[in-house]
Amino acid sequence: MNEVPLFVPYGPEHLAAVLCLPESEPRGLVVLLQEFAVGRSHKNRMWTRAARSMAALGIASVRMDYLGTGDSTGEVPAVEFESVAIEEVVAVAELAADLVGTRELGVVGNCFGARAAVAFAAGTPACRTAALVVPGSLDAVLAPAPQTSRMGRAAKSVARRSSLVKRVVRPILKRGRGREPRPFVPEVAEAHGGTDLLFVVPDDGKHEGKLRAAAAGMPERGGRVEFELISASRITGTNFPVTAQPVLIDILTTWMDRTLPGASLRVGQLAQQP
Amino acid sequence: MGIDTERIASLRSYEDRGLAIRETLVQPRVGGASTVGVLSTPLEGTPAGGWVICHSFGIEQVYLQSLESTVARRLAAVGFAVLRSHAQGYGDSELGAEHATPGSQVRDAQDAAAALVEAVGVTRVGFAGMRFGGSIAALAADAFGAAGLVAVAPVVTGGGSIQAMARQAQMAELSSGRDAGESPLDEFRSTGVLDLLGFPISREAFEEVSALDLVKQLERFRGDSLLVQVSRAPTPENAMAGLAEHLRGLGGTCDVEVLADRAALRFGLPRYRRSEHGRKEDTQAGLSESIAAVVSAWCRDRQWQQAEVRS
Repeated sequence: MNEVPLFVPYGPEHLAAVLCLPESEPRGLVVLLQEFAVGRSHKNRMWTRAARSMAALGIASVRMDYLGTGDSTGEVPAVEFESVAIEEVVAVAELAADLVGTRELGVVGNCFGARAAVAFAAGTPACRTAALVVPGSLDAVLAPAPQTSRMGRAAKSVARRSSLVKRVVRPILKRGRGREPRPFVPEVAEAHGGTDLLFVVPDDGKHEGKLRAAAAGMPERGGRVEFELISASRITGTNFPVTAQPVLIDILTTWMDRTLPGASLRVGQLAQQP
Repeated sequence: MGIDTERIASLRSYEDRGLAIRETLVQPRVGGASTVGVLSTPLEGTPAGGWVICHSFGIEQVYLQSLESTVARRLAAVGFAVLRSHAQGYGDSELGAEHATPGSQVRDAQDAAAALVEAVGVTRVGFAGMRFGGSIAALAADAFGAAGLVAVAPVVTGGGSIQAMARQAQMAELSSGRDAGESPLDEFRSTGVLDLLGFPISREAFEEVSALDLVKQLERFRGDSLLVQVSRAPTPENAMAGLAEHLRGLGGTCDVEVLADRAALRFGLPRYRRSEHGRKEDTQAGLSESIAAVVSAWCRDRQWQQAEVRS
């Protein structure tokens, strides 16, 4: 395994990235995308560790600092899901694929990075596989819930002030919400078909159901859609408990091994990389 | 098709004509293993000296990284060579978090200083850091015999700071709508590993942080120092005044700047905050700019008198 840091030109700015190369000819290249304002290694080096696990199976990867974060240049006063860093991701992925000499691409995204990942997959025919890690809010992959009516907002406001009203009103509001599952954002449907999709969610009984409901409402286009559950309390948007981190890394590495060409046929025990 | 090594080498650095600096990605050895860092240098002339940026401890390292990059560039723009790199256990380093303690960070900062001296030939080196990184910088400057120290909102005494981090971790979990369950400190007592928002703090690291006392531990630093207090009120705090007095007592100079800013309470916490569906805003841009301006102005005016670099 060999790691090479680079500055990727991006207009007048430069994006810092680290290319992780296997000893052998790479089977493909995986782009690792974390939450915005978290460095390219992710918290507690999760992407660094995932990159090294993948390299052990012949898979190259690139991890990057978004514009205005980490060692990248530029300033970003605000970010939105609707304008994710897709051009930045494309710039880094295209250059990295050229440098590595592969056209087989995969992408992993967490939180904000999950939206960027699925947008990248939707717009990149060479992207065969995507793993979307969404342990916190599902806003990265699900369309916004329909706006609550004025009456509904007033009821919520009253409910917030009174525990008695809350007990009565909240179940009614929840029942109303439960009828219409939130669909995926359009990028998921666009990626589906050309890209195999894996959703990694906590086993809290909520996330999986919502995502399965959204998947059921998506037109069948032939691509794989799978779910992996992580069992651990205290998982939030980008905060994976220390004990859950090796599990996540193993899930991501196994998925990329299965879905990129030339599967290694290895079994487990990958997350032990330093 | 093969790997394009020549082109990869050409992407190691870039030049910023506006700031008149060059940044080069480097892979120094610190703490006996490899890591990744960025060397920032002025485009013209010989560097006036060197600075090593010491990143913070635990999860704070993630939150302060962009500001550290800004400060490094601004110091290069006023004539210094600056190296910022990941200590072992952080970022792109070779070794895992189980190797990370405040002591290992102090060791790695000194190794980074030696790498900086070797890379650019500077003879005068200072250490700079923010929050816990400021404490690491102070300890490294003391051990290295450095010419300068910049500590922005340093943690002067460690007792209570781990507890504060644990409370912050619990608050973050609660604010995300999850039941925080057992306190991280309760878990630590039973498992021996303190899990602070996904960063593991070993018992050794916990004890080192708890025992931190800069006034007691700084014994021989005689260089020039700048302490920057970041607070909502403009009144100097006792801990900062005490540290400044101690630094002067050791034989060096010490300037104290107080930056009063409404965002002070969130300094060292996530810089971007969610404002509405799918939108996050930078809540510390003004404070970050103030810190970079104060630090670079002070460094630009430095005339180091008694700089020594250990051979």
